[in-house]
Amino acid sequence: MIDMAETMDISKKFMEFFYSAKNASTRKVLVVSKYTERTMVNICLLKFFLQEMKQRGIFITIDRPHQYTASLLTLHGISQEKLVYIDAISRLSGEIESNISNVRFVNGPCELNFLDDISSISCAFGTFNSQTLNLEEIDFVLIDDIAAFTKYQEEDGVKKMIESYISCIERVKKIMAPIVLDVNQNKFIYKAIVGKCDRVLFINLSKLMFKEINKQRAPMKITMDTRLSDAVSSNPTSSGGY
Amino acid sequence: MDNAIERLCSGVDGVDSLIDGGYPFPSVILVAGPAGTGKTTFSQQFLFAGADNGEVGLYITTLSEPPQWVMHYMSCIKRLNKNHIGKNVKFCDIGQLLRKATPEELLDFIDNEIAKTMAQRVVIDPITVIKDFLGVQYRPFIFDLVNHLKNWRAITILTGEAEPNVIYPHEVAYAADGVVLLTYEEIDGARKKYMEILKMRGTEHRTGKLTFTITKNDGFTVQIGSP
Repeated sequence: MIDMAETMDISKKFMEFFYSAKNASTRKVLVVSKYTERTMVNICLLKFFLQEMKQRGIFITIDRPHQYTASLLTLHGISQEKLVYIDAISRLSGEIESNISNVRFVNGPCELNFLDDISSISCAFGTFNSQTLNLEEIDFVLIDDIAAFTKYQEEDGVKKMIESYISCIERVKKIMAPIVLDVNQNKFIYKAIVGKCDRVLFINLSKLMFKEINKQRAPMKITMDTRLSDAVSSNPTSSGGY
Repeated sequence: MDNAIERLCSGVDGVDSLIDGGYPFPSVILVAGPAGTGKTTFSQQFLFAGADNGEVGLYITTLSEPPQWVMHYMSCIKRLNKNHIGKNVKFCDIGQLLRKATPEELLDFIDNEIAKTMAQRVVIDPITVIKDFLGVQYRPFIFDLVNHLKNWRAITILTGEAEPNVIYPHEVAYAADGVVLLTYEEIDGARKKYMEILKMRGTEHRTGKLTFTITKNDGFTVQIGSP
């Protein structure tokens, strides 16, 4: 189980991984983690971007209604003022839509048009905060979870959605886009994504592992025994006033 | 296209090989049977096996039975690592809440407990007690509960006692993704215990009755190849 002290440690690792000078070009990151830890990894990432970095972002949810993530963030004391949800599952699953301003509902996962949806969110940010916001001012986007497309589409369709998502990220300058995936469960998606990502990061929270994988040599089945403390070397004070 | 359902081990020797390697994640599994068949032991082994793998388990009792009394008996089983208690295996008693809460309040409370612990394994033992308090609201409550439990990305075991002449609680079995039935039958003057998998969605599972034993050394163990 992970406690708050450990999430702080992980945040420091994220800082080094995403924002140190040598990593300036990092934007599309494949985050490899166990399926059962995906929720915790997402919360750690959101905590890092929203709370530590004070950034604006988008959380696209296609596997479960956004309220579950919203509840977890509230429980962890993480402000959602700078977060907008694109919820592509609530309508499909018959959930009662909340009338709150930071959610945009899409009819279903197959209805997602990433660039249009994210563009409209940037307008929404401007409405909420009484200020204008360019698409380029969105700092990060997370999708939960990209493997869920396999429930609704055949391989070709899933590939197109992945390509559309990657293409959207590439068109928005400076946006950070970690894509969390269980490689051992979704080898086809892994193959489709790994070559398009800038870097590959392996996280195992229960064993406190945090390690970058050379994507050219990334194996199809990933197991590692490196402790968090042994992994990506970090010096938080030298990487952006952490 | 590979699209394997993630599975987590059951914690009970013999069971995983019957269900494609483990319970689908996330899912809700009903473990039903009369008193004394081993429902609580079965579900405790599920939680502790997860804790052995670094997962978080949450045991919710509806009986107002304090954790020390649950563990008083469970601690006899050597395979349950007591170091997990309070850490990766947490306990929660909703017995008192049940007497006064509305279904919505009950659901909120359970949601909150799972969210706080971020448990990947949950046990509600026994679920059927809730029927006495909720009456006609019980069935919709079960549907809502099952939906919420899966959305929390957990595998949940709901234990249930069947009413006389009914082998398992139908309201729960209908909503659950899996049904494991525990029974005992009198054979030559002795009661023999059986386990049977009646339902396991997304899983090629074995059918038919298999015998099981509960011992201090091995806990709940299913004999493959029996009866």
